[in-house]
Amino acid sequence: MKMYLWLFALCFIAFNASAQGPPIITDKPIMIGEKRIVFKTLTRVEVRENIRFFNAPIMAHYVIKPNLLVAAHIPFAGVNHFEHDHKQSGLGDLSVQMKYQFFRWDESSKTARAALKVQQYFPTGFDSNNYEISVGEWQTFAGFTFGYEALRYGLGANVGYHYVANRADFFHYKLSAGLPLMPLVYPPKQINLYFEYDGEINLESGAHNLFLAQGIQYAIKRITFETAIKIPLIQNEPEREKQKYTLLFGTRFII
Amino acid sequence: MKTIKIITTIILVSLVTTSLFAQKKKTEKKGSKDEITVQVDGLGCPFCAYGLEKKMKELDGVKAFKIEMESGLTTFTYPTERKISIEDVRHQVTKAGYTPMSLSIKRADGSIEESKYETHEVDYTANQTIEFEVAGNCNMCKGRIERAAMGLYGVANANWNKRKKIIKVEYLDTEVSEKQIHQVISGAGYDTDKMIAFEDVYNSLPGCCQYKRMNADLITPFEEKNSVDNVD
Repeated sequence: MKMYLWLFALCFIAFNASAQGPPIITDKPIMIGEKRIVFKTLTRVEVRENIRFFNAPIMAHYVIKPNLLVAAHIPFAGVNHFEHDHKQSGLGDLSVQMKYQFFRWDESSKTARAALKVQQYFPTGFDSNNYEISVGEWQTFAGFTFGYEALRYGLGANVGYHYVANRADFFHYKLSAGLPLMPLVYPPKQINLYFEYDGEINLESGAHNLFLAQGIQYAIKRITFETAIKIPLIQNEPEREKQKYTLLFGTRFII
Repeated sequence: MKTIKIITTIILVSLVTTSLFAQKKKTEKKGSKDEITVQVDGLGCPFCAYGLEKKMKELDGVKAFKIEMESGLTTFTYPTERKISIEDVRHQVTKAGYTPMSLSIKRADGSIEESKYETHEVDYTANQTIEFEVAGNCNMCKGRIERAAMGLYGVANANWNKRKKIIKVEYLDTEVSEKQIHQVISGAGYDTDKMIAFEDVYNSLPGCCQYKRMNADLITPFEEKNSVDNVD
C-alpha cells in the first residue's frame, strides 16, 4: 500500500508547476530555461507473465547554458515475482546525464535541434535482472537526440549505445510524433497525442524488440500530466521474458 | 462674508489644482512604461514559449507579457526609468535559447528604437542605393524582408519602412543586381513593385504576415533579355 501511495505522490506532485510539451518517452534536444531546474517524474510499471516491475524516478534537470544541460535521476524501483512470491524494492541505479545541443535551426514558429547525450548509471540499486529497472551494475548510455517542432506537429528521434557491465549491451532507437489536439495558445492549455516507437537490439544475442507507446499529455497553465501505454510489436525473447505491456505516467514542472 | 468668499475661493482652487495634479500624475504613471516588441524564432510549442517568458521575467519589472504563437511576436512592458536597451532584450532572448529577430522599443515619450536582423559582416562598400516598394504587414515581415535582402552577397544594408512599405537597399553592383534583390525578396514571400511572390510561398507565411497582394497587372517586371539579341 505504501509503495502505491509513494508512486501516486511521485507521479502527481505539482506545486508551482508549469507546462511542458515534449514527447513522453523519447528524449528531446530542446532545452529551455537557462539556470533553471526542471523536475520530472515518469513512473513505469512493466507487466510480464509472472513478474511486475516498477521504476519511479525523480529527475532534476539543470540548464547551465541554452545548449548545455546536466541532470540527476534518483529512482525508486521494485520487482514482484508472483511465481516465487518474492518482492524487492528500494533505491534503483542512480544516474547522471549530460546533454549538449550542437545543432539549432530556428524559423518562425518552428525549430530543429540536435543534441549529444551521455548518461552514466551507478551500481546503487539491487539486481532485478532488468536493466531498465535496476541491475546494480555500471552502465553508460551515449547517443544522439533529434527534434523538430512546429505548431502543427512535432517529431523526435533518439539513437544510442547502452553499455551494461557484465551483461549484454544494447543499441537503442526511438521515434516519436506528437499531435496537438487543440489550437496552440499561450499560456498553454492543450492536449497532445503522442505516438512513439521504442526499439532495442541486444548486441549479444541479436534479439530485436520493438514497442509502440501511445500517450496523451494534458497541459493547463503551469501543470502537465502525461500517461502512456507501451505494447510490444516485435519481441524476440524467451516467453517468460516477454513484456505484456508497460504503463507510464508522470508530470513535469519548472522551478 | 468677505472671509467666507475668500475661503470658498481657496477651497475651490485647491480642489481644481489637486484634480489637475492627480490627472497629470495618472497620465505620467500610465505613460511611464516602455513597450517592447520582439519577433522570436524557434518557438515551436507553447511550452517553449513558457521558457522564454520565465527568462524575460528575470528582468525585474516585465509586465503584460504576451506571445503570439503563430508569429512568434512577443510583447511586454517595462518601467521607463530602468532604461532597457535593445541589447538587453536580445541578450535575454538568446539566453532563453531562441533567436531574436526584429526588435523595437517604444519609449514612454513616444520615440521608437528599432533593430533589424543581424546578418554576416560585410567586407565591401556599397556603390548603389535603390528604393522600391515591398508589400508587408508587421515587424516580422520587416525581419524577413531585410534578412532576405541581406542574405545576398553584395548587399551592404537593407531597411524596410513598415509604414511606407518602401525598402532602401545599399549594394555593390559588381556583385549583385537589382533584379536579384527583387528575386530574393519575392522568394521570401513578399511582393515587390517588379516581382510577385509565388502563391505557395505567400500562403506559407504566418497569418499575420499575409498582407494584401499587389495587383500583378500593375507591376512593371524586369525586361527579359532575349538571347537572340546577343547573337552576332
